[in-house]
Amino acid sequence: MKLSTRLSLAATLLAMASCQKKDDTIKIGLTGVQTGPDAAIGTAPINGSKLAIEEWNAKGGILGKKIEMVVRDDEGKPKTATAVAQELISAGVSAVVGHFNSGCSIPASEVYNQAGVLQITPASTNPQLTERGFQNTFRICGRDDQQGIVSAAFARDTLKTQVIAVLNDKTAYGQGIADVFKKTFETKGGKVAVFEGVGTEEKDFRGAIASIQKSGATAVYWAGMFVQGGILYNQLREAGFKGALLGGDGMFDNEFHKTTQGKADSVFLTFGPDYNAKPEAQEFLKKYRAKFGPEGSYSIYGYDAANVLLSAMAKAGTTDAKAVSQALRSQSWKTLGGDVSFDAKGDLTAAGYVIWTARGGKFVAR
Amino acid sequence: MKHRTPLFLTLLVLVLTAPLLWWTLEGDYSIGSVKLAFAPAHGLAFFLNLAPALALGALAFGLVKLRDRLPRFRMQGKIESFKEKPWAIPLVLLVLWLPGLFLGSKGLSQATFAAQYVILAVGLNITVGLAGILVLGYSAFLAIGAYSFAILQQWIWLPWWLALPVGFATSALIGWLVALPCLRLRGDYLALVSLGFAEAVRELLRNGGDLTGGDKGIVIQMTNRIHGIGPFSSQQVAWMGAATLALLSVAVVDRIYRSRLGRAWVAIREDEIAAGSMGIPVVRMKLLAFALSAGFAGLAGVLYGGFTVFVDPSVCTFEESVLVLAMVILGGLGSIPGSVAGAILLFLVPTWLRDWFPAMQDYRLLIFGMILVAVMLTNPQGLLGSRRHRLEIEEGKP
Amino acid sequence: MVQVLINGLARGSVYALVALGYTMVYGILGMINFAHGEVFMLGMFGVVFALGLCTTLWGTSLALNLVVALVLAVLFAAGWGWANERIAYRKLRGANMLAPLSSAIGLSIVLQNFVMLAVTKGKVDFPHFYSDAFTKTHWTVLGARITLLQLTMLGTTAILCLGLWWLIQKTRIGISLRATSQDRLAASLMGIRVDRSIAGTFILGSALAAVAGAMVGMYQGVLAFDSGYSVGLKAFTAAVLGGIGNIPGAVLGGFLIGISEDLTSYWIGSDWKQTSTFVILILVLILRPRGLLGERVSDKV
Repeated sequence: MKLSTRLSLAATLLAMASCQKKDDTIKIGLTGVQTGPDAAIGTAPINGSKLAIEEWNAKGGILGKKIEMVVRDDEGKPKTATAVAQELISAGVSAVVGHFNSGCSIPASEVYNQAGVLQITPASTNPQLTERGFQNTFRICGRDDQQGIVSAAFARDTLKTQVIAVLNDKTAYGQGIADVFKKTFETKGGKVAVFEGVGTEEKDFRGAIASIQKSGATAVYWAGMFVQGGILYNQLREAGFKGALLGGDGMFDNEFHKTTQGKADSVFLTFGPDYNAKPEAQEFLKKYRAKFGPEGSYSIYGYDAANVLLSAMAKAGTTDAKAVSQALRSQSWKTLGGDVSFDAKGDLTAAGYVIWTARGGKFVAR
Repeated sequence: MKHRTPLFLTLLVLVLTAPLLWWTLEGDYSIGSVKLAFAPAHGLAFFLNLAPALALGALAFGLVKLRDRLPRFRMQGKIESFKEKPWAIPLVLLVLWLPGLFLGSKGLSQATFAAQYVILAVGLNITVGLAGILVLGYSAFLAIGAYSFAILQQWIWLPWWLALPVGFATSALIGWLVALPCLRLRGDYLALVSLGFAEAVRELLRNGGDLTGGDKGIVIQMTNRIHGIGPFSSQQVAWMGAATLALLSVAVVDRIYRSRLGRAWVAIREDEIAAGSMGIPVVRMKLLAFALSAGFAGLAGVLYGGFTVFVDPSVCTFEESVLVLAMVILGGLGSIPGSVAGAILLFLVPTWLRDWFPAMQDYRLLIFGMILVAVMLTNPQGLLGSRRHRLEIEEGKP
Repeated sequence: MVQVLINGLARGSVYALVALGYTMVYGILGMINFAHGEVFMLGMFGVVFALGLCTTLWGTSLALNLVVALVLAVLFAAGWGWANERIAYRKLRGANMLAPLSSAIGLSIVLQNFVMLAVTKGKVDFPHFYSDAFTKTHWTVLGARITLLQLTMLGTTAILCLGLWWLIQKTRIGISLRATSQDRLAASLMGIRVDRSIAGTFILGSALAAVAGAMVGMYQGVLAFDSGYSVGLKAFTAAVLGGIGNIPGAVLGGFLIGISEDLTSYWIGSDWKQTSTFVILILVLILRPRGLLGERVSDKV
């Protein structure tokens, strides 16, 4: 009995310690991968959102209250992501900007949906995320199928590729985008000669390249991230393969040019529209660099996601997820990339993927 | 000469770590060359970040040393077998459930994971600790349990509590089948086969097409997840379920340990040939140990699927296997309280480090590794294992 | 087809070199040195850092820098191997088999995370200036393209294996190593310094791993703190496949695994590359529990 008394005392103490003060702020959860190999690319949208929220707070907050950020690291792992989702809900967040990886967003969205918390992701592009009829799930980036379609159309119509090889990194992202690419390419009359997955740990593609060269493919589509993309490019050229390398937004990182010595040519990626021409974006980037250092590819998306979310809350006049999600769908919103609006699923009505190409150690819009 | 060794080793480590710590690479990618730049701030930051952990470590080490000087207290006198006091189970259960009402959501999810690791550690202790078979691919059975639940519930109504025996049985059966051809092998070879098996299982799950969903994983249907009952939230129910299962696992393994079966395993662990010549059916006993151990992992797998509502191949990783193995070894081989303590310690300490010292977030695995090495060097039998082991020898029990 | 074999042999030569380290330590201590893959990874980083040092000191010079960097990296990795043995294993020599294993697991986690924190979380590109000379030069043999690097990898592995064989069979050092692995106590009574032999094994294995690391750095072009894990696991599998503790077995196993990986991705598809390795391992272990070249030893009573 002594033991149990002691335990219940401990439990009471714990309960007292865990009691949270209720204060007059609106809490927004910011989450994504912040540790591990994807740390740099995953922290960028979170920093973008932070900047947006700080701007709102400087203007006096929203609905008469200050905005509080609750930042959590999902480590890029689905398991941690669902735990983080539960933590955010219990911390009392009204909405969440995140997660980064599709593999994290999908299971976490189940948790948010159950709890009636609104989620808007700046970077998860897997179609499955918005295909399950959740009213509270939004994304401010494109979808892999849109990406795959744009890429496949470009390969077929502009590059006139007849036979192509498709490699993916076996992640939810890679498989999804590869599947759509294959389907579109084939309906457009092309032939996918090689369709294979290699693990994310693979750094020697010579085995797959031998198959590609034998198959007679004149271009390769890489559905994966930039580190492996750079290695694949080098090894393709080493093996004497002269064709084009196509890819998705996962390849879009300056590290790609370091690996390829800035000499990459005929590399074609799908990514969002070119922000460099827009003065508002320039102003954002200046502020961002002053605060966080060099921006990542998704910094702007994080900023846009938070801004659109808060504007919708202001319009709805409440933080209630149902009202906010109705407000989000009701009109078009001004972002750094232009005006956007959401469809019934929570996707952008116009994804606006364009083809970028590598030139002189940089990606430039084509 | 001897007393200078620590100083010498410290110097050696400082010299070997120096190039990577105090200099940084500066790449000139236009010509594809690199230069070194002296970066004292870089190295200093590393040591500053590590300093609190090192101080804590030194403190813990001091405490352990101090504990060794105190008169030893006897574990067996304190923790009674549940057989002698069966009424203790509901009592302990109630006490376990209680914190669930007060803990926040974060605390609950951590507690549930910790309970899941207790089941895993206690289960792995059967093979590694009791029967002396090293298993390096334990997470394969966790994945088999989780996937058997996730796959079946797509087609039929199968709530998580109903899936528990299914997961247990599937894992145990597959464990038995895997061990069957391998038990001729010596211990360390079986370890490798289990490692290879786990790698193969993960690849199969990744390549399994629509059946396993590949890397996209499977989302557990709404009706089959752990959800709230009455006044209790789903997280509270998950904690209660996990705590109950953990307690039951501990009780069951504890009972087996004290039975003929447990004594046979310990005999095999100590000397296989002698045990065989004493009439213990060595192969059948080992198979049983393997199957039972796999079964507990299956149980934990179903539980995992029930509360994370999502299963993917990352359940079955080498790191996961190693983590559970480290829990068993750290706690002490063959010691059940040791496994429980090891599980809670090795799961919660890195989590707390992440939450309380965000600056040390990246250092937590480094610290984890250091603890593992340090404990092995100072206490090769594990934290709670050595006393237990000594006790057994003293009292002449197996 | 020829191309596939060339790729497989090149990949296998790396596994063979790393597998030697596993098998030698197992032969002499009976323990699985889990941290060996990490020593290989440290060798990779050692080469890049040493190249950086050379460039900083006297500028870019292809041959000179490569030779100096290789020597420095070998010393660096050998130092790590030695330190590992002194710190994490020596005290546990008499203990239960699981204790050194868990110590090794802990050490492997420490080394990986140390490099992650000290160098980078991301990747480091191998300086192209040095690797281009090897990867851009190539010949066409039977319709397949073989690069100078692949040839170098095969040649270096062959020379090192022969050198190792000579060292172990023909020199005094080799005699003391073999004696120590036969019977540690008897060896020590015969005046062999057992501690030195064991330290020597670790140093030798680590040096071989560093050479492999240098070549893999060039071959893959990119290195990361977790590069040691998958190579270590494959090499370890190779050592077991050939019969752990058996030196020619490790080399054979390394080449077999390298070739089987490339053949699988050629015939079946890259998706099944990982699986095939482990299926082969399990089959070999079931059919020949001591590995391909392992001797049959009856259990001591």
